[in-house]
Amino acid sequence: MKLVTYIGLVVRRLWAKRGILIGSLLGATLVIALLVVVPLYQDSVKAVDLRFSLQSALADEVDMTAFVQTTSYRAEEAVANRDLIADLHGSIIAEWYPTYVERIQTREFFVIPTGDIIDWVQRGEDWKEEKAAIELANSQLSQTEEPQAVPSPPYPTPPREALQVRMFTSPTLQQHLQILSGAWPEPLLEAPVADSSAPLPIIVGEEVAQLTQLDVGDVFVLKPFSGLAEVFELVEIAAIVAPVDPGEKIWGVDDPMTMVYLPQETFDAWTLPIFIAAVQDPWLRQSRGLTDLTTTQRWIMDFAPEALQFEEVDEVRGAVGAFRAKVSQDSGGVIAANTLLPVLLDEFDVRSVTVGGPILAILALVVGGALYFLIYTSALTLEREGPEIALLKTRGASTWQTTGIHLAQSAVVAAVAAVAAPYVARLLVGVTGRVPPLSDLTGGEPLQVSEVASITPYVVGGAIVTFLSMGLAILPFARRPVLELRSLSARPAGSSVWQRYNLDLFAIALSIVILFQLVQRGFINTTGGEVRLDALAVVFPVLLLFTGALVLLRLLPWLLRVVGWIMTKPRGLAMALPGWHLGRNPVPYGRLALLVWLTTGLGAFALTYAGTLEQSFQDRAAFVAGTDVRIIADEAGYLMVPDGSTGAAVYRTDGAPRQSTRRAEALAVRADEFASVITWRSDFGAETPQEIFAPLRPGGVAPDLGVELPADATKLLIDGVVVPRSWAEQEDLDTSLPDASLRMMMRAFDADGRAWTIQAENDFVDSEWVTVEFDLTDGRNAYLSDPVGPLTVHALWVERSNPGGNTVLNGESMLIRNLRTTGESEVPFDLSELETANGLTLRLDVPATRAVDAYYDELPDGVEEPTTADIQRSPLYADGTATLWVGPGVRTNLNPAVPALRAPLADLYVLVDRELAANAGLEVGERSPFSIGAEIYDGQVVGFIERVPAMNDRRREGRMIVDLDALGGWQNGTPTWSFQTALARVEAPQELWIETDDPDAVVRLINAQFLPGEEADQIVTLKESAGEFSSRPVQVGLVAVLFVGAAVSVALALAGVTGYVLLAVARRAREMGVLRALGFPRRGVAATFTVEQIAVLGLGAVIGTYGGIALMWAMLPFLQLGETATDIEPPILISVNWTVLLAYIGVVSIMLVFSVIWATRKVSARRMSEVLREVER
Amino acid sequence: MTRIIECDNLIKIHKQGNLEVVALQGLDFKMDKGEFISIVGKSGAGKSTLLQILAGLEVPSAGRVEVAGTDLTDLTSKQRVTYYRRGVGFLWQDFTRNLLPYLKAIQNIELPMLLAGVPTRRRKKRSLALLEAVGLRSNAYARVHTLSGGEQQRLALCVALALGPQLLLADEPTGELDTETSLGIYDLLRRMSHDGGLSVLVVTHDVALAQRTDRVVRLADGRMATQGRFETHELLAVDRRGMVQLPRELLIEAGIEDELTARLVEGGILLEPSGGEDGD
Repeated sequence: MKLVTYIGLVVRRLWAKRGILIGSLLGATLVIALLVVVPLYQDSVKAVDLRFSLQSALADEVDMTAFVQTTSYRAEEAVANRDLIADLHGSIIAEWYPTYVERIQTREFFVIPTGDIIDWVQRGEDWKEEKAAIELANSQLSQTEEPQAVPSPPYPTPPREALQVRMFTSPTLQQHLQILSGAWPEPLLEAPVADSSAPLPIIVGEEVAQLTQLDVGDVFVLKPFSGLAEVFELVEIAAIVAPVDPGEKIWGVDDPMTMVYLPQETFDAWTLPIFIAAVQDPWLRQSRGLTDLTTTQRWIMDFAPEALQFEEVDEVRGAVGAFRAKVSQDSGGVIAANTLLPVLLDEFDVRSVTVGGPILAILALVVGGALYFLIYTSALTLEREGPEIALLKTRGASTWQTTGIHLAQSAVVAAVAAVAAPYVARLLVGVTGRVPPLSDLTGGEPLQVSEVASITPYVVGGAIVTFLSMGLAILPFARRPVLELRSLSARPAGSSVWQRYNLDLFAIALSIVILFQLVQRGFINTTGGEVRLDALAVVFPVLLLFTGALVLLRLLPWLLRVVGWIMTKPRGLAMALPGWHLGRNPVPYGRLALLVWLTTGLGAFALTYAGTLEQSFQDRAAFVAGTDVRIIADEAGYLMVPDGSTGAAVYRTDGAPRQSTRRAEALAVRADEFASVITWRSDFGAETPQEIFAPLRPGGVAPDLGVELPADATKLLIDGVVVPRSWAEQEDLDTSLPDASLRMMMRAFDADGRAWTIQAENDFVDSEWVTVEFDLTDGRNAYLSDPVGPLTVHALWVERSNPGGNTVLNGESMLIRNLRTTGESEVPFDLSELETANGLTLRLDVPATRAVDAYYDELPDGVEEPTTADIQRSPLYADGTATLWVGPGVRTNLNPAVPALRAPLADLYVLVDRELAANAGLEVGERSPFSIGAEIYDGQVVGFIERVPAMNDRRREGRMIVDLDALGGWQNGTPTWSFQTALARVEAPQELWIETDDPDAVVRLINAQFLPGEEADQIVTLKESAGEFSSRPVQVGLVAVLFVGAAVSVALALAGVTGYVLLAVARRAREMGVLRALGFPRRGVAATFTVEQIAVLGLGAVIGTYGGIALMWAMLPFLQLGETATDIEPPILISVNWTVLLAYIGVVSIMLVFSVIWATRKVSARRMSEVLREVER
Repeated sequence: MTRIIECDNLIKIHKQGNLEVVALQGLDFKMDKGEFISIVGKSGAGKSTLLQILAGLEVPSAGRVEVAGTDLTDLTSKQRVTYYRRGVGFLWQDFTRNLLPYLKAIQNIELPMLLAGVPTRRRKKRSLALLEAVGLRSNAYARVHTLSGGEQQRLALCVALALGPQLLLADEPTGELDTETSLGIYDLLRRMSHDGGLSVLVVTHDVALAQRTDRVVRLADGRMATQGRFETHELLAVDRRGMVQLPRELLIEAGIEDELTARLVEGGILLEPSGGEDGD
């Protein structure tokens, strides 16, 4: 009975204090709801993420495929396998893989036509007759006579061009095919009774029919690709079919139009020997049938993403494992089942942990904030209850009784909150699905609340926490003396227990230790193969916020004194009074400022977090894309850059300094154009990309690749003659004399850096001086467009026009002179820049008569010495001087070292990353051989790079960059024999980086440049990459929860500030009364108090804003982990969108200021008599 | 007569920042059981301090104080609770300090009994009896805020007497009431004291109301200045410096304003208005 009375008292107290307790109830409900939100929201977002991942996964990845391969198909084994799969599928994984199809496919058969060219049946019949005749004849021979040999049966053999097809069957075959002509054959389980040699009815794909030009009713021979000679089958086309849906999973990678089909029953029957009367068979076989076929029996189980509920992830993982194990075990290791679903689920798990961490931490922050609000409200309530507790004590209530009443009251609030919280939590979680950015993924539908883990522990935990937060405050109160309790609400607060015992300093030290620990051991715990979030990582941000608040409480009085002092400087009383108050008595404002700091801090944090995340998505997308549009295709670097855009050709390969085995990722670029397109961040190693890439081209000068021709040059002309053998020698050799004409080749680079191999249009001969011409507008390389001038001649060489005996050069010598280009005008062309290589020797200013002299050097017998006039009349004669080319001995087209005149190669200038340089022991300025691609080049380190967008190949150990043109000179400048398959070794830049404002148009224009049927291997756009990064549900969910958190904190702050101001101002009614009595107008009093509160709010807001950004800094390591627990590239930088942040602070400030004004006006509007009466007391 | 209160050389020093204010300076005060005493004095005379010490709310800095045999100088918290439950009842000037506004009249009276563990039936019976005694029987289930000031104070009296204390301490119990109602309250207290044997100690500013008590104790500067009834003679205390404080009423009666003449007469000192001699 007593208990009932107590409860009655508690209930009456609750009812009487419902106004102020609503705040506590709101706070408690929010705390519990937010705790409940943790599992609900995490699970819901994870569920969306899972659905998103599964739906966007390729079917090949998630479907389950079981297969068995056999080299000798047996129907009974196939049936047993089928039954096993059906049984295990039904009992283990049918829930997630509701349907499946089975296919049986053979290795190739030859399609051997019979009839038109070779009538194999007739041949068989003829052979049969012949055999019979021989046997008859043999049977009539005497014993001494040699019997005639019986020829082998003429089994059909495939012609060289025989079509090869695969045979396909399935228990559900008929469902997947539509008949174009003919009719579906009835299952034929044995050879026809009337004529066991009658063909087997078969179904063929439309393309098979077209290729073989066979039709329904036609007969052909089907013979397994490998197998005995007598194993083949005469088949008749019963139907020509096409697939119902060529995209059906049953077809796999095969084209259903190019296969032949048998109904399952027929297939099973005819893959066994079917014994027949041999006499009926044209080849006298005793059995028919396609025996010993190599087949693959495969089951494709269709994964249904919608059937997998988030809570079943572990279950499905287990089921998949069990299914695979059981299939293997029960089939004796014959059947293997595979799916990549577990891998996908593992990735999902890792992502859940890495991205779930921040969600947990943020919710912990919000819960922390709400808890603070609760404790704060409870303390306010208790302060107001001071006189009542005093009354109870003077009426004989013991400490335990006063404590008990309050605790019971807290318990009731906590219990009501615990009942309401799950609904609020569900509502909150649901609502996040309706608001951007999560609504983009849920289609505006409420987020489906998934209740995997029981929320009961969270509710109970939340109820206990809220109960303790509200209830424990009574303990020190209940012990206070009555007089103190009575005056509690009028006395200024003393310093907190934290400061009294320096616990705040301890908390700061603890935060530092935890941060240090986290930095040391990482935020993610991966021991035991499982990825788990370090509990400290979740606690740390909350601790930081809490510690920050404590530090603020310690510093705030000083700050407020300063603010107060500043406020006393103006003359107006409305400013001076609050200034005095703040300066004199700053401690009580701590809690108000703290509440505002928490609110603005959380808001600033949420916005900065969202902004940082968004910026990071952009940065990561930019890092992956490298620029606005990156086209990857063969020779993409030579594509035309659309107008209005800037392009840069990039060659990507691998390399290593000092021929190290550690291969680095290597790019070849043109510094200036690359720097103008690349996305850059100042922390990538230099303020601007120009700065970092400039050393690739010292002084901005392009590498010298040879002799530059005039831009308008269209032809290069060279006069020359092959120094002939003597007349006598030519006579002697006569017919065996090889063709002495030499073809001149040229390697040139055009303005786009393309290497061209240009062949002279006519050859040098040994019979006369000729002018050979190079058409500079056409090369032998298959580029999409003609050379773009000006051309730079990099190398010249000669080879035999007709390499008899495989010799492309064998000590020939040649005279050349008068090199010139023609275009608008004729311009002489000087070769002196070029150097000889690979055995070519050059003699300058040799008399041009050398050719004619060589010819007349030895005359055939009976020929008179030529006169000078004869000599001068010779087509080999030329006066003046020429340059003599003397080739080395035998060179074949297998010898890649082509004697040539070639531009000297400059050193490669190389930028390397510091680690790579350190590993190779290289410093800036040092020379080293560099292995790039498959070749070794000389180069020198000219600088260091740190991070370069689109260079993030984790398989490579380091990064290096070289000049594209210089590398092109090394790689593509080497002369090659034209008789080799590779005319010119052309390593073309495979990437084109384009900076543009209109990426869609650029992609369109680029695609238009490809030949019909061809396309880029890959087109990476910044826009798409950014979309891909920012559309991950867990990330999006994270941003959503941030905004919910910010909104909750604003609501709490508004409630808290209004309540606090009401109480604080009411508490100072005495002061108000005095001011009013002194003649201070009501409006003035309100203004005084408003100014005072706003000063405190402003201070809290400013500190809170920076506090929020500091908190963001603390959370960076979470973000840095990324989705896969590997460091994000490039590192995340804090991005503060001041416009949004200031707008948020502005809105919050306006709301808070209004709440302050409202509360102040409400109190100051009291009648003076009432106030003065209060003063009397 | 049994002593209910005995204060011996009671000293109380309040600390206000660095200042020390002596509220009681060696006060000696005794009260017998069943007495109805009023304490008067100017602001700062020590009235409230004395009452708070007697109520166990404050501990004297020195001296001895005993109420109904309980030494208040060294109470444990348990003894204090027992003291509140059985020894003393309080009646304060501010209604809100006497009553819980969210309880009904009878529930307010029942509250101390509930806290003391009195069984329900007895609680109710006692509450109704008390309400009957103060004439509020018909308002037993009324909300506090529906009662008038006088009724609230009478109800507060019931609450204070709920556990049948030996001593009732009242601090300006009629401070917010009109004269008629105040007289009613004092009559009620007197009746309770005389008929019920309740010891009542009232602190008041109102001399007229104080006259309705059995004895008036006047405090000045933390000590007893006079005590006794005002009708015939006044017993005045002489402090260590030989100073005597005369009650204002006495001065008015005697026509003494700003100055007076003291003359040694046989058996004592005669105080006269300074102009009186001229008049003689």
